[in-house]
Amino acid sequence: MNASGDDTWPPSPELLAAYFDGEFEGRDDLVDVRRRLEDWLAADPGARAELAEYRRLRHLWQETTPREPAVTAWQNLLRRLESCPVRAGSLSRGAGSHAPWKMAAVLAGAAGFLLAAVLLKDSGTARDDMEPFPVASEREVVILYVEGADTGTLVVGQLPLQGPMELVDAGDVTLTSVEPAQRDNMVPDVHIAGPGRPIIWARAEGEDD
Amino acid sequence: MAKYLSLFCLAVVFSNAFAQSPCPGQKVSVTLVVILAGEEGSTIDPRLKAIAEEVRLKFPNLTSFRLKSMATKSLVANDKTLIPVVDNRDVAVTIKHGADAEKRVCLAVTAPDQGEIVYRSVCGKFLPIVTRYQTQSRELLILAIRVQPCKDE
Repeated sequence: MNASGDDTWPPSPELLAAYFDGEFEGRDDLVDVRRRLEDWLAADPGARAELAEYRRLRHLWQETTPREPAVTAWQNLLRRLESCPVRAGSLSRGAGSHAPWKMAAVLAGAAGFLLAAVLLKDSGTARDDMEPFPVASEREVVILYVEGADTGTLVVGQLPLQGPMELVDAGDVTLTSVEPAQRDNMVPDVHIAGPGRPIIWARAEGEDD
Repeated sequence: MAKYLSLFCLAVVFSNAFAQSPCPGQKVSVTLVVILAGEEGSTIDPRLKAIAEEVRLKFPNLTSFRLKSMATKSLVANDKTLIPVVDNRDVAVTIKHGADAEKRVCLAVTAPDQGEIVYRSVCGKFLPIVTRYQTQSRELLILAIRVQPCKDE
């Protein structure tokens, strides 16, 4: 650092960076250097522009820096690392003796390792749990009601009517009793004995016996 | 003497009961197929071809037969059930007795706008009942009912 009374003094990049970073703040022993730097900056438009550019860059840096994980997050990660069977102890021991950025790098690597371990573990579990999913067979499902338009959409279960409808033949049905309709005493026409197949017709209004 | 007469009467009653239904408590599967027949179009569901032919003997102007719905109920003797058909109308079905010695089931059916019909039928075949109920789209309601002993009985 050149803090002598040289008028041609150009501050070194390190000194400028320290000033830009605010490292002179509160340092009584650097008051002179700071004043000289400020004089130099006041006399040099290019240096002022450089300072402004640096401050803008630092502002951008601060704004785009991801938020640090909370302490509890780090603790959880460490706890999970320690529970990891693969060299978790050496990772946690080494992390404490390095600079913070190095520790962060180690933890980031460890997080990637942990993620891979979890994924591998999950895939292994999935293989272990890979049992045939029980699916009801056709005989185990009884269709109680289905709309006619939906009969083609069923993938399992037997429809109440499969294939062509088979009608009763003569002699298959015996009539026991017929009651008239409550509304108008209509008694349906019951064809049981033949000729033809048994069928029951409701009489239309005015239809004779 | 009166004691022997009572025993004789009881024996007659029980013998009649078992003759009517050799399997008391037997479940009967009732299947109701709801059909709507109309004069518009000429589509006949292949499953309904036989019943369409029978109905058209009396109503040749019915040219379209579609399967509205089908339902199955498992009932024991004296069970009564309501099965929805169309337009919030129901069909009431009561099993009078299960398959008898002739393998016939007795049931009572009350269709919309009709009184109760009680009949005995063989198992596995459909009896058509042509009602006089018509939907708002002028389709005629036709029912086909089949009984059969339940598979697990």
